[in-house]
Amino acid sequence: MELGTLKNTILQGFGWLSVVMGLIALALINISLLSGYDGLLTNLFSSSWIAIAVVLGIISLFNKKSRSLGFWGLGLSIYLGLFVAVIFVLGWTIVPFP
Amino acid sequence: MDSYEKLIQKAKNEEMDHTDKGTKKVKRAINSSRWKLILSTLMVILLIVPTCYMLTFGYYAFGTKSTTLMDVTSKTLYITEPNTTLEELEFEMDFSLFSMDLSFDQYKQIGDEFYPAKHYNFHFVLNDLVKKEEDSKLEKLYPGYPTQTNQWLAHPKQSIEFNNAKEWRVLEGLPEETVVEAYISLNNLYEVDAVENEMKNVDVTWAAIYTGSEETMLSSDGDVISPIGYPVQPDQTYWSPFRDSSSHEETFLEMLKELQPYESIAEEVTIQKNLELNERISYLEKNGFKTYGVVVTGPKKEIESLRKLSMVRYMKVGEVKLWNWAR
Repeated sequence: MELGTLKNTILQGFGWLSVVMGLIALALINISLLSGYDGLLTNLFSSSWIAIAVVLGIISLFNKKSRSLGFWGLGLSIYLGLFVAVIFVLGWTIVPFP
Repeated sequence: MDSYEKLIQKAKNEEMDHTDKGTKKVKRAINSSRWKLILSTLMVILLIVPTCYMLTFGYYAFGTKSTTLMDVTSKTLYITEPNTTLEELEFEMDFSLFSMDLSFDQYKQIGDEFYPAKHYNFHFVLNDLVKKEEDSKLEKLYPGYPTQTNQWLAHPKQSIEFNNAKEWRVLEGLPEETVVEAYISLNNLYEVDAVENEMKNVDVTWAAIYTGSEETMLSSDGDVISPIGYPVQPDQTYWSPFRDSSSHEETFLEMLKELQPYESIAEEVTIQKNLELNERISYLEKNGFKTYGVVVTGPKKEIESLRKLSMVRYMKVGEVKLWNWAR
C-alpha cells in the first residue's frame, strides 16, 4: 500500500474512533441519567476518555478525507464538555447544599 | 503466444484490475455512508436525554428556581402547620426529566425536645406540584381546612366541634410525668407577648394570627380561608426564616409577601386551603398582629393550670410524650 493511502486509512480510522468514543460516552450518560446511577458519569468524566476522543478528532482534521469525521468527533466531545459544565455549574446553583 | 496476443492479454488484465478497484471504491463509499447514517441516527437519539436534562437544570436555575420552590414549600408549612419546624439542611433534592423531587422531615416541639412529625415527598413537574406524599409519625393529626372542618384553634366568634370538657378530662387523666402539646383558643384577640406573659411556665410555640376574616373563615369573595400564624419561640436553626429575627411578626409579614407571587404553589403544598394572601397582607399592614389561638407545650401539670386563665376558651390535647422537661 502506498504511504499516502496508508496515512488516509489511519486518519480515517482515528476519525471513526473519535466519533464512536463520543457516542459511547453519550450512551453512558444516557444510561446514567435514566437509571439514576451517578457512578458511571463520575467514572467517565474522571477518566481521559473524552480527552482521547478530542485528540483523535483533532488528528483526523489534518486530512481532507477524514476531516468531516474529525469535526463530528470533536463536535460530540464539545457537546460532552458543555454537558459537564452545565450539569456541574447549574447543579451547584440549583442544589444549595454542600 | 506471440507478442500481439500477450499485449492483448495484458490490456485485458489491466482493465479487469481497474473494474475491481472501481467496485471496491464504490462498495467502500456505500459502507461508509451507511455507517455514517447509522451513527448519526444513533447520535440524535442519544442527544435527546442529556439535552432535556440540561434544559431541566436551566429551568430550575433561571426559570422557577429550585430554591424558590423549596422556600415556598418551607415557608408555607411554617405558617400553616402549627408548632412545626424544618431542618432545611436535610432537604433532599433530586432532578429527573423536567421534574424535581423534594423530600424532607418536619419536626414538632413537644415538651423540651423536637420530635420528627412528618416526612414529606413532593414531586414537581416544572413548577407544578403533581404528587404529594406525606408520612406522618404523629398520633393526632392537625385537621386540614376546609376539608376537615373540625378546627382545633377557633376565633372567639367561632364554635368548635370537639368536646372541650372531654379534652380537659383527658389532660387531667394523663400521668404527671408527661409533656403535652395543647391547642388553646382564646376568648378574645390578644397581643402575642401578652399571651406569652400569661403562660410563663409553658412554651408558646405557635400563634394563629387574626387577619380580618377568621370570624366567618370566609374571605371577602366568599372563599373559605384557613388559619395562618407563625412560630413564636426564638428559632436558631440555621435555615429557619425566623433565625435572628428581631420581630417574628415582621418576619411573618415578609414571608406572606414573599409567598404572594407563588400563592397557587403554596396552596398546592399545604392541606390548609385558600390562603388569600393579598387580602390578609393588607389587613395586617393596617391593623397589626393579634392572636386568637396559640399552641403551647410543657409539663402536663402546667398545661392543666392554664384552665384557670380567663383568656383561655377551649383546649385541644395534641401530642403527648414522656417527661423531657429539664428546666
